[in-house]
Amino acid sequence: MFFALLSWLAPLVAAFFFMRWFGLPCSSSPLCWGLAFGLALGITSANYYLCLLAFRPPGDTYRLTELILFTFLAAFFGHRSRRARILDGLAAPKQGRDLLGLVLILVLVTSVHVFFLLSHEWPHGKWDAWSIWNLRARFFYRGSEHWTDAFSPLTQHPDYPLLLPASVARGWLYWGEESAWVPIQIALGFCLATVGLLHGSLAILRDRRQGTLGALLLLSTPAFIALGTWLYADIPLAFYILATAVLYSWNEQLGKDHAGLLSLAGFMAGLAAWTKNEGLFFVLAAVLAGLIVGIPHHQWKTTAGRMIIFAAGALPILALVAYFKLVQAPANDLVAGQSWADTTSRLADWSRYRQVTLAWGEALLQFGPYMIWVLLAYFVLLGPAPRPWKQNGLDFCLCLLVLQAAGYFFAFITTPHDLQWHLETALNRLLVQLWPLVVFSFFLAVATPAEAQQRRTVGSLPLQ
Amino acid sequence: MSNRIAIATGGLAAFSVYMMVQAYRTVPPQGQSLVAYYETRMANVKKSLAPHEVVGFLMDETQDPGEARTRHEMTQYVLVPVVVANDAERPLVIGDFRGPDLGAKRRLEKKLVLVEDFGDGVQLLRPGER
Repeated sequence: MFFALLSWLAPLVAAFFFMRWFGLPCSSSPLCWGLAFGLALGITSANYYLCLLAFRPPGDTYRLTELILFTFLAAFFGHRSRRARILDGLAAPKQGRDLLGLVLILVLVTSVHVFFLLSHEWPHGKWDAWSIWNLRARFFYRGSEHWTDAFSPLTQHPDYPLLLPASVARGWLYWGEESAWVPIQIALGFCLATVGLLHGSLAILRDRRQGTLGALLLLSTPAFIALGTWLYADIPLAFYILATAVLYSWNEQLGKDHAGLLSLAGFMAGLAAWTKNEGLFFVLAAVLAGLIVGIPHHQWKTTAGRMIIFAAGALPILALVAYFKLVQAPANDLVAGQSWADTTSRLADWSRYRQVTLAWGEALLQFGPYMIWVLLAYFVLLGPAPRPWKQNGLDFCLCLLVLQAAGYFFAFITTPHDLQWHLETALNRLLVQLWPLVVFSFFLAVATPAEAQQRRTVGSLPLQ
Repeated sequence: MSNRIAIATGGLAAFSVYMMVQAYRTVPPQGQSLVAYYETRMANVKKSLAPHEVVGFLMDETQDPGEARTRHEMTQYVLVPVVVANDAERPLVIGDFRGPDLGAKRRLEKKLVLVEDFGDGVQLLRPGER
């Protein structure tokens, strides 16, 4: 238990101090802790996998070495002064707690309670948790030198990336047994990290109240908490998608490129690919979005250089994913089920487009179940933000959303599986993957209450 | 603060509190975990299998493909590090049946013989003389 606690604490604290040293605005604690959690889980899962490859399986030496390493890193970054204060100039003015802040605390505490109640009901998660993610973790933990049986083609989706299984197996190694608490803690951590990241980033890019409203909306989405308790990889992926967009948006807000922010954004995108196969497409979508929104505003060379830095950040994790995919994992079912004749026939079948479009429309209207109407009503009441969209990376976020959604759309069009079954089992989860980014983009685009108030005051002034 | 802004922000806060109340209502009553049920049922057969063995899987017929997948994948989950193939073409096959009659019928169909019956519909089978 003590070691289990240390297994998260040491890398988390090291990642937090790294963020602070890096120059991120860690006065906004939820934001830095959120980013640090995602970074720590990503790095430790990659390290665990590398140790599996090298030492099959890792044992006490691994635990001790890793703990010493992260404790050293925490001390190193903790004692170093900040390298730079990247976003200090952008920090929103301090605002005291108001009623809205108290509502957020109430909803947050309640959400965590609901999370535990649901986790108590299904401690091993739902279907994909025990047929894919925790199954793989069990092979790693129990498999000894046969841990690669986790990728047997006789099991379900053996090609799925390993961030979650490696994190769970690593947690069990520290815990000393297969405790159901380990995957539950990871899932809760990702839920809270996503909320913290959303709140903190909106507080910096817009204002604190906007961050509170965004966090409230995310927490009041039932599928967000429920999917967390199912112990699926969709919430971790949603976190990395949001983290990439947030870091990229900060770079846009700075007005000049910051190589550190861009490469960290790329690293988070790489971790998305290490989490789920959809993350692989996400890396491509992020680079494309950067080029699409960058080229009209900057020189071609500047935009290309920016995306090269982004891609370089993603490279270490992408190399790991590539090794796993090329050396260990069998072919993906969606890819293996394609042939020129089959794929072109599916692409030319207009009934599939109609079916997928209707399913998307229905899913969007029912999402939440009232989310689309809440967003619409809120936008009508407060109006758009007065600041130009380019300033805070909103165009990048929207372009990313469109590209990623288009990727999902065509994955359904070309799926070799029964289309109706695939839509029913996957579509809602895909929407949840994008939902935190949708909320982030929405609150970038909509006026803050202060801006709306100012607009009304100015509008009601008598003409001189 | 104007009415529109108060309605928007207050409405969103009220909505989130309402959704939280709804979330409490969706918490299902405590039932037995399917994983715990399978862990108990498969505990003895697990002891008879060598780790890392690849075994087959046979169950009584069902019209529900979701149920068939659940039973196979749940068996795989609880028997790790044994690999459970979803076919009966292996030197050893796990039988997961609802009753002894159904088990006997399926064994005959697949030409398998009983190695050991662990009770509660769980059996270890092997191919018979062809």
